[in-house]
Amino acid sequence: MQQLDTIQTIETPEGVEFEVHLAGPIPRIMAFGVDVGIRLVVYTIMFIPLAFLDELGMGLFLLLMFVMEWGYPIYFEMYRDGATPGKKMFGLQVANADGTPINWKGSVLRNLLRAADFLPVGYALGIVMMAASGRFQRLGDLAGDTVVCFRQPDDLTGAGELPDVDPVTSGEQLTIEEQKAIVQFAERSKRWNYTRNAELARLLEDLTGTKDGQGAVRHLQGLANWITKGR
Amino acid sequence: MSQASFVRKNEKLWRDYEALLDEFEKDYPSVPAERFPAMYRTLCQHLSIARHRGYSAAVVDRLNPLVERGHALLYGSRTGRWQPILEYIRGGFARDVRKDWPLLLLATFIFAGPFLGMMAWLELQPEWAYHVLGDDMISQMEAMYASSDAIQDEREADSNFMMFGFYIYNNVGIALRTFGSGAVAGLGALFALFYNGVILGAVSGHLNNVGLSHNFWPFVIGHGSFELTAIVLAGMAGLKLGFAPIWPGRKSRLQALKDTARDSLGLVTGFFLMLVIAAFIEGFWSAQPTSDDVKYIVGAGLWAVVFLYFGFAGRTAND
Repeated sequence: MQQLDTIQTIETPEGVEFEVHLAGPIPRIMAFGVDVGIRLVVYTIMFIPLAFLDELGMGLFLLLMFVMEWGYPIYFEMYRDGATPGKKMFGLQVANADGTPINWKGSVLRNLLRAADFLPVGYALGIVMMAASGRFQRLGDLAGDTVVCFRQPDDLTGAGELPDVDPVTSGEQLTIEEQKAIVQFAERSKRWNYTRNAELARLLEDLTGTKDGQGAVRHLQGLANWITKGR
Repeated sequence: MSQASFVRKNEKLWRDYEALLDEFEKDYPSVPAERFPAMYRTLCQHLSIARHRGYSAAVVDRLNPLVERGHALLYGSRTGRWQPILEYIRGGFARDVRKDWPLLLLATFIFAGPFLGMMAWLELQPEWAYHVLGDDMISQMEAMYASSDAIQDEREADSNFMMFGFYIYNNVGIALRTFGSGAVAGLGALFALFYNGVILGAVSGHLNNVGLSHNFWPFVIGHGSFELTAIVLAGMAGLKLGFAPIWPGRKSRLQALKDTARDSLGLVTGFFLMLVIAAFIEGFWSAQPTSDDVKYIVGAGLWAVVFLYFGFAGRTAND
């Protein structure tokens, strides 16, 4: 039984699992709104010169509208890393359900089936399907076998630096989970302010043996150094 | 091994691997790929070691995207070229349509039934045209077909192109929505077939009643072959998609939906191309000022092409 979470684990043929963070309806709706806005801006900009070409311009404008309406999401999903400008803005990305980059069939299907997800009005069915499907997939995603997830941050270097504190050994036997939590705390402690660090560290009075916030933070950072560098 | 020494020991390999990833993610990589799979498997191993030993999130979060990107490169699908599409047009499309002949019959019936029924009904009850179409649409239609000149006078080269653009935007859009909205138990496709049948039947019937049919039929006979057939095929593809989860056979409903959706894409490509052809015919031929006889002959020829294609294209010895 998995915990209820937006993290989907994908197992590769090599037997390793990696994680994909699925995106729910709210950021997707906002991204959709941005995309609609972008399309409207393009229509407005293109309409002015094409209006001078009378009927020829009208024909071109109608073709442009057709291409924008149906081709816009497919083009960006296929050639711009699976994200329309709106999705990019919210850090979203479309991928195949097995974590590989989206392909033609998946992209065409998920966008053709917008007609179904839209029913009866305003993507109501799509939102209900997202809630029901367990992986936030609307009908188009189910048919195309695609998911919308948050893009992995590109740069994680420097995240693993621990504060330079002398290692401290622990009197107690710590489980792997506890060790992980302490190391993560120490890694992130540089990015938080003093008060927040102290507030969190004071929770572990049993382990650090001190009520003083700053002392507790230093003790935990020392523990983390001991866990990762020298046992 | 402690986390720090694990990172130190493998840092160089990870950096090399990442450089390779960057290279292969370009369209035309300039580096031979033979080292990559082995490196990718090593990275997979490192990721599982890091997880198993409970190394910190920083290490796992660094390896996770590297494995993910490698996985994407190795197992992502290659996008095809034009060859399969040409092959499909040559006969695969007709084969796909014939394969699902019960659905084709059903879609034809749902479209042609209301169409013919409406025409027959308006023979008996002409005033019903106003109930079905509304006054605005009727006056529009009557103005459009008021004389053969009316169709042709307004149609210079520019306006031909405008109409072509309109047919693409309107007709292709409607057909794509017919297919897509069919995903909900086929309902969207059923409605679209029925609705279009009623409206087109009412227009034809009404123009017959008011004595404008001699301008109407020569205009529509040509593009009607491709357009009406494509509407029926769009409905058929939509029904196929919508019925898949209802009667999944020996698959799960979701699997049936996925498989059928992928199978239907051929039909979608086919009716899409047919409607583009229809838009060309309607935009640049149907309103040409030639004699009605020529239009009927060309129209009959186009209908023959459609029937012969779906009847015989792509047949193999065992069909």
